[in-house]
Amino acid sequence: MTALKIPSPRAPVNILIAHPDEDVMLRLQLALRAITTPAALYHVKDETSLFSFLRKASPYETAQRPDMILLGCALMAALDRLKSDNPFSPIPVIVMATDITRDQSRQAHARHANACMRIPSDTPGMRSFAAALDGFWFRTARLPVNPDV
Amino acid sequence: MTVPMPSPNSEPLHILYAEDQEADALFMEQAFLTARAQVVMHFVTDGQAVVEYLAREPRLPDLIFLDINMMRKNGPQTLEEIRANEGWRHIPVIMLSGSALDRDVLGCYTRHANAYVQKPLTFPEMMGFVQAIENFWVFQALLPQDASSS
Repeated sequence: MTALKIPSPRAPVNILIAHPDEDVMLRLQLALRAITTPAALYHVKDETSLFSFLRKASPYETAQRPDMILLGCALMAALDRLKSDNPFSPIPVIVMATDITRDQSRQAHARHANACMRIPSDTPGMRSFAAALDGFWFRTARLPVNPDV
Repeated sequence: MTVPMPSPNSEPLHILYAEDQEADALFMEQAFLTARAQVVMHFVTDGQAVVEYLAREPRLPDLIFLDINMMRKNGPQTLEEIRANEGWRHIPVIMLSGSALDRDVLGCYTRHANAYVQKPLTFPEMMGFVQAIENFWVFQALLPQDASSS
């Protein structure tokens, strides 16, 4: 008898949204809940909480290592720490803002942001934003798996 | 349902692709002919040629695709050189490889690759790749294009 191969359910990708604005965070969460890839969404509002989350410090002792960080432009100072702090440097970081400029994008890329995006102000735009993120990062690209963390 | 958005980037987009297998380069070129965005592909055959291209051409590419395994200078070595150069380090680099090994993927992200993609092998896979590149990198991402882009 041949064993029937049942594909194992895909583990959700862990997405950490680091953004101080509650409204932006809620709209992002709403759009990301609709993507094809199963995703677990987490949220922090500032740089201190971001690193507490990554280091599983209180109150984030049970936090999962994120597969991707969506970083608000207001928290750009965290980018240098993220990309030089060795255990976390491979995690893709997408810098985003509603009004990000080309010059800010250039600076963020020079500091090793993986991509920069403008956050759409309307719901259809937000859906396209989330779908494009899903299509490239979670269904086309390979994300890093760090064996030590 | 998602709606198409106007691209935040200036078109045509210039993509530099370093690939030592001519058939793979042609395959990619054919697939990008179907793209909705205006894309101009530039091909070189190894990492050393990428460095020479960046040093020589007045207009830097908007995106670089780097094959991992190339003669003279391989993908990771080339990536390190791009990231070490102040004038080039902002250019997004997508690594392309036949390898699915976690250590290869991690090594490229640690060297600050923007993304790592397993090489598409079939035409449907290649079309999916082109569509994903367009939808994210052309129509959503804000590329750090040069002011001279046109």
